[in-house]
Amino acid sequence: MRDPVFFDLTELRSFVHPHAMNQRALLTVAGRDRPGIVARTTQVLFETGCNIADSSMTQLGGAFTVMLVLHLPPALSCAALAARLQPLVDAMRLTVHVHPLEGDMAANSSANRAQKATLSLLGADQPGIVFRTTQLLAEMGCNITDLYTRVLGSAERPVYSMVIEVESSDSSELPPELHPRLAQLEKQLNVEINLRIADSSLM
Amino acid sequence: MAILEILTYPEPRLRAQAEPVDRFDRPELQQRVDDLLQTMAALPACVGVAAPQVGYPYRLLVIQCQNSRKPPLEHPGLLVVGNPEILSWSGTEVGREGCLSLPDYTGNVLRAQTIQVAFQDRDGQPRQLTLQGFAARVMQHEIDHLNGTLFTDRIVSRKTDLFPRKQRQ
Repeated sequence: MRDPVFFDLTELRSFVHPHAMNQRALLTVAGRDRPGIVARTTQVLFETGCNIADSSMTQLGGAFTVMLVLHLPPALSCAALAARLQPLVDAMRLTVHVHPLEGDMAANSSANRAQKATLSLLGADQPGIVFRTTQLLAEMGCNITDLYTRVLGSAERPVYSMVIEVESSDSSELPPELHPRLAQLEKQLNVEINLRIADSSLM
Repeated sequence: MAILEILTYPEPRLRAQAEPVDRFDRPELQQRVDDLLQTMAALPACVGVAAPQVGYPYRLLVIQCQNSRKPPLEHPGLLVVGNPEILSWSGTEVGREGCLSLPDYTGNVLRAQTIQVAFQDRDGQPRQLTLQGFAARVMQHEIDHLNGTLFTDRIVSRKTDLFPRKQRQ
């Protein structure tokens, strides 16, 4: 008997072939958080033959935000996709934007050799935490691949938390001055900053 | 000795429960141990291989933390591990893992920081080790392979992890 949970993914791979679809688009969706936003959005994408590549969908405060890269089928324009999403926009009071993307996915490939690290920051909420941290990273030529912040703690004593995934801008190592510069910033902002170099070992 | 091909997802054998090693004195088993060691040595930055990753469905794995690009200061050296059992766990730590069977993908996984593990060495002799940090992580990752578990099954939410307090002693 075949385990129904473990279906054969090799069959699915031949089913959807992203290279047959050339046009790429960025779709953003935002609205008041409630069940069904992802399901109803992706239902439209499924029905119109769009292929979802990378995506980020998350709850932010009371809102839900969706950003995804689509491979559009040849016959579907960004405007036509936006029109197909319109009934959903009206029904769930969403804000939707479809934006054509230039270039191809190969742009990411050189980044695979870049050294990666995770920076986590924790401290009393104050203006400028994100700006000063990311400005330092930009000065050091570090590329941000992911950034996530969240306010924790009580309303009287808010604690700001931030996680940034960074990588060197080319295939070299992250600059050695990054650690001491972050230690300086830690003192200036009176926050805790922890930089963990990603281990690239394979198991 | 042979460098074996690493099976990659979605190979169904990666999801199977591995069988205990019953006898260590069989030449075939010793041959497999040598193959695993040679395979691990041949792959860049490879710190561990579990037998199911090369299609050998037994509770057997090899570890060498020294192969890491940044080896930890303390680690147990080369280990050949048969029939491992984790006796105790303590502490937790989130760390990034990459797996030969899931190429080009890394993720954050919560693991016990310290484990005590009982196993049999390649001669079948019972041994016990206490492992910490990276070595403990590698052992837990490889033991998962013996149970058909991949690290993607253990990925943690970045909303709730990733805030390791600095170690204060």
